[in-house]
Amino acid sequence: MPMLLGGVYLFLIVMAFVFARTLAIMRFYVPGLGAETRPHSVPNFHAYFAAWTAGFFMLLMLALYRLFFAAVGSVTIPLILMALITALTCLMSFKLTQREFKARDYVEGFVQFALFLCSGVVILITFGIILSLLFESLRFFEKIPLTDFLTGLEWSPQIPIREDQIGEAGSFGVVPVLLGTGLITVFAMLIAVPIGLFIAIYLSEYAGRRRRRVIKPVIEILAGIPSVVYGFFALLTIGPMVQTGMAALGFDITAQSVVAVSIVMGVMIIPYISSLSDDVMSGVPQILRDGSYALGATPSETVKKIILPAAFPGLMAASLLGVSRALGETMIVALAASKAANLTFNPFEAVTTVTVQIVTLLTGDQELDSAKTLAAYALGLILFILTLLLNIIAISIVRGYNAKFHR
Amino acid sequence: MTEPKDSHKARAILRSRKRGEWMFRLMGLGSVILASTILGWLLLSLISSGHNVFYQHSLDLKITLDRQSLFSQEVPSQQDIRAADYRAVIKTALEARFPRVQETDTKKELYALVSLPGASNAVRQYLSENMQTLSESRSIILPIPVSGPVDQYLKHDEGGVRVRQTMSAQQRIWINALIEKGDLKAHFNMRFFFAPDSPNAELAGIGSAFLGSLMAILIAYLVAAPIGLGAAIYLEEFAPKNRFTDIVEININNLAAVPPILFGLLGLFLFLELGGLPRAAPLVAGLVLALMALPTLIITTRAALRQVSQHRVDSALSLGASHMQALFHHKIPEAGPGILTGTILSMAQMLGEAAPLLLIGMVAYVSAPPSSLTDAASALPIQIFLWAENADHAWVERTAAAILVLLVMMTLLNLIAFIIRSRLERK
Repeated sequence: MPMLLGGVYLFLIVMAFVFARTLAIMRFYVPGLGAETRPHSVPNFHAYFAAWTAGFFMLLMLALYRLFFAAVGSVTIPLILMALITALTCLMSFKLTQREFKARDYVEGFVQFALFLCSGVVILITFGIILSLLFESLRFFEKIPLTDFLTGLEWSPQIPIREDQIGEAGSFGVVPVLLGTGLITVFAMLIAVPIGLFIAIYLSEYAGRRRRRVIKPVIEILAGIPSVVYGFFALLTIGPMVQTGMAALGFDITAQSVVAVSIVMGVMIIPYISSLSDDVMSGVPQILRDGSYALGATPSETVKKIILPAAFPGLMAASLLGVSRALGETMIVALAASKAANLTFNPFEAVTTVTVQIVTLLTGDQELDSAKTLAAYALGLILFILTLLLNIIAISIVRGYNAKFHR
Repeated sequence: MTEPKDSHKARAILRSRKRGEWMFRLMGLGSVILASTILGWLLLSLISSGHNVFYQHSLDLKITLDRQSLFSQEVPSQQDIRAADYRAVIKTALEARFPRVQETDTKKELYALVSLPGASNAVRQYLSENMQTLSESRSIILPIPVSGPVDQYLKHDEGGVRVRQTMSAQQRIWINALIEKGDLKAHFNMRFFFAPDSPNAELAGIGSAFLGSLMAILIAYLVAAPIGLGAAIYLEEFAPKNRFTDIVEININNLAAVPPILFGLLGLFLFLELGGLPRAAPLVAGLVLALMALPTLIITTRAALRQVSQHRVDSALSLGASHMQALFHHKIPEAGPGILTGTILSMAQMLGEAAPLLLIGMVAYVSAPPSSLTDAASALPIQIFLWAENADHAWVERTAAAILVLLVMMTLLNLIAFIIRSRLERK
């Protein structure tokens, strides 16, 4: 039935289009029917006008029909109504298709409005994220007070197997989770920022065009690898490697250690930081470089004393975006980090992160209203606020920076 | 001429400056090499553990099918064929192949050579295709998959003591006998590409996950590409400089950096809780991916529009075309390849995205391929995630192989985008 209605719908639209177009061509261009003055709009616009009018009203009718007469369930009545609407549209078109009718203005106005709506979707998405997070978080904070959530030192939302199990309610103190996220992020940035920065320096200041052509794709491949693959790499290769390495030094650590996770996450973020920094440093005006060289500075001195200070805001923004990415990264930690919270600063222990907890809380089979499910949204809200702040700071830095050099 | 007093000092300074320069340069090059090495290491480790999966061993076994013992009816229906148990047939066939085996324990070892569910499936498929030709009783030779341990043993024969331990001495004798006869052969592993997931590693494939990914990506493309194009055109061509435009611009840049998992939460709330759509459906996955792809899509489309030279548009305008006509008849077709490239690249990225899909329910074990957009399905990155949690060697190999397939798919999409872009440049 939907197929039939859809087919007829398209057919009728095409009919209206052909009708209006033929009519317009006959009236405007066939000699003897009065072809002496130029029409305001070419026939196609009259045709679009008719077709879209028919399309719009048919859609409206179908929606109303579905809303109020869904119980009738007949196909014939909508079909008759659709035909009727098309006939009425053709009648309207017969009357309107005149030289002075400004079909183009209407059609173009409509198109522009549709384009405007498309760009509005972006705002709707943001609102959707904020509203869904807020709505569910508020329901969570009805069950668990906000202060307990933010200051609690214990996170153990156990999944109850029996009704009367001890600790069924679980404890929702977010501090260890946030601390774990922060720990992994800090160590990941310790790896990603220096390496990414040096790659960018090499690319923008040292490498010739031919080397750039080889190196850039390699970095892009690194950036294109899905994070679940990095997660597999961390779980299978880096985690055990760090573990055996430390065992050789006489330390007994877990394969899920912060260090192992951070190494892989750092590698994932390297291309992100290097490409952003490369853009920023390439944007530093050549005249500053030339001035520095003219004074006898070596390339490295130019980089250190001229380019890095000039590009500093941009590099800062790149690092902040990297941090925001590390905070929100899910698949690496879901595979390679621990699922149990651990309040520690020790980088050789296993910790959990906000994203791991969101995944763990939502991938079990529990009812939608439980505190555990809602807690995921509260964690999501924290993550959103943190990344939003970082992003906005970074974006405004970049905007200010661009304004400084590209007036 | 006498040298200046400070000459020695100056030369020392120069030397240290040069050394500093050299060190700095080395650090840069070292970072590049480090990153490339890690990439090479990652790819090599994937290939070295994943390549084994692309071939698999099967055993040509003579199986006797007797209709009366298998089915109660004269003419069994497809339903009966599907429901019947063929394990006994396989076991009899194995015993007929090695008639000297008598003890129950040895028999168990013998049965462990082949994958019983896989063998049953092979018989089932043969019967459902050839039921008409099956008279009272007949013997056929069917290639049936060997069990996971045997497959592992055959693949890692030289290297692994660990693998050797999983085979008993008797089993190794049988295997050698079968190889000598030429009944045990390696062949290209079609099953891996087309079979659905399975609890048995040797039978598991990425077929249904691949289909789910394909469906989701198609929906994401159909939803995101037009909206992204529309938004990009509006912002690039029509948007007045006002508050709304400013907010939209900041929004796009921010959304492009919002963690993927938050789009998963949005999808869970919007489509599952409010919209009432089914869990793990490719439709929902596609919609979530579309929302996620939109910001980057808009950014790349705008860049493509900006790269088009203004000449054609100006000519069209001077000939009396309206702004809209110049845009749709000249600018957008000219930017078309660039726009297409951008959309393909963002879809390649979405193909590897797993986090948001986890939250909309794509974590459950799905055995059958999805037959509609609202069926429960899996996706390639999700399948990788689920398999990756298995420490068993056979599963590790499967995971690596699935990753290789995913990477090849993404590379293909990038290649298509590259070809489109280079054709545009040649023009």
